[in-house]
Amino acid sequence: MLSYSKKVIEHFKHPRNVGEIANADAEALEGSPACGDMLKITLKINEKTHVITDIKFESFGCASNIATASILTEMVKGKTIEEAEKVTWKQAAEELEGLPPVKMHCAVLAVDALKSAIEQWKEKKGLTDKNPTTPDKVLRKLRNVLNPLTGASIVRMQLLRDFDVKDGVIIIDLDLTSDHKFASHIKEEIHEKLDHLWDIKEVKINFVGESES
Amino acid sequence: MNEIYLDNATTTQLDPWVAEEMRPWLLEKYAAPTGHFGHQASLEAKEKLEQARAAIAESINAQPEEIIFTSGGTEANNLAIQGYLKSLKKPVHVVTTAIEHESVLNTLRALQKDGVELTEVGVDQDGFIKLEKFNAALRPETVLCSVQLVNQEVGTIQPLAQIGRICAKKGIPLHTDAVHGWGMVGLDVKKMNLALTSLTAHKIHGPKGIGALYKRKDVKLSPIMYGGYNEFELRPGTENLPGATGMAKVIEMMKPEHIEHIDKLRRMMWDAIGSQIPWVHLNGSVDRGAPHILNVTFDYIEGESILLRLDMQGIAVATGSACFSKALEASYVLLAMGRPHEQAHGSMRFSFSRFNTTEEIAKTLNALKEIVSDLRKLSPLTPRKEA
Ligand SMILES: Cc1ncc(COP(=O)(O)O)c(C=O)c1O
Repeated sequence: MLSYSKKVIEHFKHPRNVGEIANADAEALEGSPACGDMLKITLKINEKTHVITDIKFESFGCASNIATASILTEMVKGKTIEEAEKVTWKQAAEELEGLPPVKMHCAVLAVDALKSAIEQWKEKKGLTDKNPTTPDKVLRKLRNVLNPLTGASIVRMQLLRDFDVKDGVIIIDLDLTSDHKFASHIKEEIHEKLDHLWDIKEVKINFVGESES
Repeated sequence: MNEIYLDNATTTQLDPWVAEEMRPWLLEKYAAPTGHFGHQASLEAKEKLEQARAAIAESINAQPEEIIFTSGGTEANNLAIQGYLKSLKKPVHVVTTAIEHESVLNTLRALQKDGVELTEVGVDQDGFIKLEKFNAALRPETVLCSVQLVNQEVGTIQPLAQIGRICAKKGIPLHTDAVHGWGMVGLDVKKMNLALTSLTAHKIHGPKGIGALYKRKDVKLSPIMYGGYNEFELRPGTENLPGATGMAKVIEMMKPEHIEHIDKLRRMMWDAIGSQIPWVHLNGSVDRGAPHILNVTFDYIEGESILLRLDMQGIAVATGSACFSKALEASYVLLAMGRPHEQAHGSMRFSFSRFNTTEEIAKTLNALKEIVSDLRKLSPLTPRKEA
């Protein structure tokens, strides 16, 4: 077994805020069982104060998946959505006294699910204007794409050689060869993070790494 | 250590009698079995090594000089495949199955870079090789087939006698990875027309780090490691005599009543799971499966969570889930059987040995019922009405 912190085990054994809120104000389903990871988050949000008054989750996933979702619900319950949106996957992992690197993607999934739910609520309430996608936003999203083995972001690993946003097309050059072990995985993750942006028609990913041999 | 060990397909407890048999060859009689011109101690060691070789040969209906000791199943598979293909002129074509152990599949895939053509024949939904596909895959330039005896994850016993007949008719040598199955199910190199057969000791209570390759007399191999002239000049290195001694003892210890007992545990476990836990699937076959392996999918939940919860209660099992990351696929064996990813992620392997008891199975079952029900309460996929 991977070595998990006491806190991960504690949350895995006794997950908090499990279930589904009836008449939720917002909800999000992230991941898929095919990937071995899936999370559903439902929220109650006070319309005036923006405080998250209730949050519940359901998970098809491994111990880290359950534990990160559980701790995240504790971290944001009673906070405003604006505060909740600032919680990063790193903070969630830290709050759990660490996660094994291969499990960092579980924290990303949990935080992404929460953000999606909040975003959905804001859209419903007309609180977000549809801002055009900026390079800055793309970079922020790419910071959440991890190398699956090391658990470090592809941005930090300097795998992102170049990228551009133009006329609804995002072009990304990765410093990887297309036959790299994780090339297709990273590609899939990037599509997951960017494809749904409202003003993006296409995401092009190029593998521009030089092969070693 | 776990109180209840149901991961015997990964490795097994060393039988104390086997350890006892090995002890003198570790502590007192440590001379190397160098052969005819050595000192007294080495002659004695040589004799013991040859006794072990003969016992292992007999267990599969082979001759002693057809047994080459190796460091285990992985090396036996590598020596069989690489050693055989190395001696041939290119181009060559090899046929195997999609569910072989990595030590076969990755060896063959690595050789593709050197021009070896490879066909990986698929299996049906129960994990058995598709014979008509296998037949169709054979070509005039096919020089080797490699089909395992028992699958490491789902326990299916492949119809090797039939496959052997097909290969014999076409004059294609057949290699089998019998790492799972040796001592558990029928294995007769003559009846099955086998040219090469890989064995290991540690799956049936022998020590780790010792195995053997059966090589039929007429089959030519080149060594894949270079060094001294041990093991018919095919496997250099000072022989692992304590290991070989243990390996021979292991096969002597394996009795029909042990196999019956193991088979009883497997059937008991599946009967109980199938009747007491909803939404489960058997991966493999009860009647055409090896006695020691049971693989079950629990719908709507993920394997690692089940494994961890069982582990907390002192019960060791294995899972086909790889919730490491999406890149590390769920079990390729289950995917080859056509199981969707989500079912592969919820699969658990329970594997038994003669040291397990019916009480352990009952305990595991109780723990499992609670855990599966708990995790399903957490899962967004569980059908709510019936839950
Ligand atoms: C089917 C199969 N072949 C080969 C091996 C490798 O054997 P060993 O561990 O002795 O190298 C294993 C187990 O690990 C196995 O299950």
